[in-house]
Amino acid sequence: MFRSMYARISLVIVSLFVMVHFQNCAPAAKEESVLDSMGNANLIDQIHKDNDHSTDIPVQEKMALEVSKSLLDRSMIYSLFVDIFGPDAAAIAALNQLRAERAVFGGPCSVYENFKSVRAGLKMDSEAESCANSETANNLGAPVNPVANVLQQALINDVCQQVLLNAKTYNYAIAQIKESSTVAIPANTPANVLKVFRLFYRGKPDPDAGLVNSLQVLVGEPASADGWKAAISTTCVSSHWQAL
Amino acid sequence: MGNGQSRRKFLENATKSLGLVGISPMMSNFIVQTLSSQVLAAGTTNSGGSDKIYIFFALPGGPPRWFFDLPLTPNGTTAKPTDNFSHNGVATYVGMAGAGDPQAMYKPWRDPVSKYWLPPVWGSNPSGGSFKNCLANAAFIRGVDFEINNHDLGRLRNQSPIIGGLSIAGLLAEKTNSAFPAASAGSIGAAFKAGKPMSPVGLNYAVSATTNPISTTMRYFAGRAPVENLAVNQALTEFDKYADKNNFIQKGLTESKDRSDALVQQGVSTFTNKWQPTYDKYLLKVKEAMSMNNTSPFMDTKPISPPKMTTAGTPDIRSRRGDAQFMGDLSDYRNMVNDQTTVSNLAATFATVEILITMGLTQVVTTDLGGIANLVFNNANGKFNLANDQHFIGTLVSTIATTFMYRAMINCTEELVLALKEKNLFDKTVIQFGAEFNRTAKADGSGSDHGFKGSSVLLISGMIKKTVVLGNVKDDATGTYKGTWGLAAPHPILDNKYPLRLNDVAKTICGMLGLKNVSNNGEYILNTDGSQWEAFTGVKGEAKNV
Repeated sequence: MFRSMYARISLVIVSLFVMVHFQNCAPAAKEESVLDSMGNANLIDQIHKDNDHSTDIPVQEKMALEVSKSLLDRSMIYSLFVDIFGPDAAAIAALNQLRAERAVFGGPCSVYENFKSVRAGLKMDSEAESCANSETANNLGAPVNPVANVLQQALINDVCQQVLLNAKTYNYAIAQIKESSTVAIPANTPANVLKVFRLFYRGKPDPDAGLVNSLQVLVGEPASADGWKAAISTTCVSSHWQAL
Repeated sequence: MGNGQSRRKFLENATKSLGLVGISPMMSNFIVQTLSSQVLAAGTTNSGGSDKIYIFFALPGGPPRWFFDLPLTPNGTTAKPTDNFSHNGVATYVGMAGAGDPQAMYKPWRDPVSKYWLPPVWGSNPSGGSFKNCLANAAFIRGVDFEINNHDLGRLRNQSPIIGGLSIAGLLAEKTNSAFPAASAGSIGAAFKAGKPMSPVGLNYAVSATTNPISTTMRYFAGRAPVENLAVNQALTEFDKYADKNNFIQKGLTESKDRSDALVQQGVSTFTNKWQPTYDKYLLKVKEAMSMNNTSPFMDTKPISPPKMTTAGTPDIRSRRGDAQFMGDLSDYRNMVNDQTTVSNLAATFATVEILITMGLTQVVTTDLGGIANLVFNNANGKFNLANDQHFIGTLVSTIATTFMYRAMINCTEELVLALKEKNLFDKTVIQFGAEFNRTAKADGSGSDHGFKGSSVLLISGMIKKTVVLGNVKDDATGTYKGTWGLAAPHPILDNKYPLRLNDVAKTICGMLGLKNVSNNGEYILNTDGSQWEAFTGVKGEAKNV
């Protein structure tokens, strides 16, 4: 009797395992196809038709996340570039233009910028002052967090190019990649390439070998300054680091 | 599917395929470069968004509209063009009753095609005849209650009827997929509000030997062309895969990069080269409008001498050109307009709009239009600019100068319509003229105050296939404003309980553009078969004076 009961319990467990296993596989395959075709009307219709299937719920959650993610705003991007390329980056024309583009990168005037703090010498920051005194849509009406747009990427591309053309900003960045301060050009190693990646992709998972390899191809063998500029430039314009 | 994603996948697949058939890396790189140039054109292409176009021209200050888009007696007959209606203080024509006795009078012009009596500017095309391209597709919405007596709020409500709420331009911008979601200049940009976090790019109409509005606007794409080779594309594809795998990919970012690269590769010059010929074309249109060609519909062909002084020795209030300022000894009032007279930034505005729209850079432009400038007030060639907020502008000055201003605007719009038609864009376009309010003409001809209870809206669109005049106005027979100044009257579309309202206009424009109703209420004031819009038949299409 006990043997029979154990047999039944085992059968139920095996059945549950098969069912769970099947359910875990199905949505993964579905997600892949949905993401590949985002924006395709027919597929969106298909998603609505599939609403009755519980396995499609994660797909819908993923879609919602897809459109609701935020991007870095103008101040955050400015700070990131100064952090990567050093204080001289603050003089790069394209970066200053980027910082001023409230309509494109988001980040409207903030009331908190208007404080005449002791730390700021009791002076109002000129940028904050001009922003606060403007009533144009580009200032007050600018979005807090922007959606991805063509102008953003064009300006970021421009900044990426200008910081690498400038010897001071390039040297500041490459110094963070060198395995030691005594080498002139960092060696083309996965570890060094990973440093380039991490300069931009803050707080994000490390990449697969495929991405590391592709950057190493750009660095070339033996490594050269132009090779490192290509790797930094490509990482800089790769755009996904903007996603919060 | 986003263009960018398809582009990267295209390059990726192309590379793989070429590798499979054994072509050398150098040759495959060359072939991919060649193939990729074919998708560069996609930089300015709207890939998958709405194809509608919206252009809003704001008239800050609220100039009088009976010279422009407020036909006061549209249904008169040849025998009775004034429709048996009083017009004290409202003039559309200046003539001479006798020596030193200029008269501002109400004298509409009859459109031979639509048979409507319209403000005479419409029959004063400097090339002769009427502005038929605009007229054939125009809806004159009159007797619209704007409800609020406030310059800024009234103007912004044309775009955003619920103050601070979503705007027509914002709703369309978020549905389009152009490089610039929207472009805007002047005060009207403050009305922009979309459901998505986006703002219009600001336009700067400054023109010099080295800069122009298009080069200024295209500054975003003035950088060096991005490096394009197999290794870079392979790395970018790996970045896409990485972001996808880790669940933070944004397709918009990928697409934006490819489209911005395409625009950089096309080069700023591709667009700025259009500037000079387009700007010159509109400069010519403004100059034509400021000429004496075909001005007879709104002005006497004989010299219009200044009015005599009153018996008290004070100037005629009708000759006031500003607060406590009067016209001087100008021997002929027609010479008020000269070869330097212009409408501020008008040619630059229209050239910018035409290039941005016809080159596919944006589908949404909202912009202020400037006022008329460099008018002459005496024989010593003294100059003045005419205020649009014409509280203190006498009717003799206002009628001539304001009509010239509108003539320049319409002459440019006529050209813009032709440019849109040439690109097959006109049938998808709505051009709207609006301001904060109409004006209330003072019966003594000394000026006009805010007429927010009876304003007007002009729509010009390829979706409107026949001239429409719609809306009821009321005669204000008593008080300071006795005469006709366009006080709105109840209309059958609203069960004769209310006049047409701004919300009804906004709802209709949203319908034309395929948008949800930005005003959340209101009625359609035009009828549609789904693609074309026209006046309702029967009483719902009426334009009566009551």
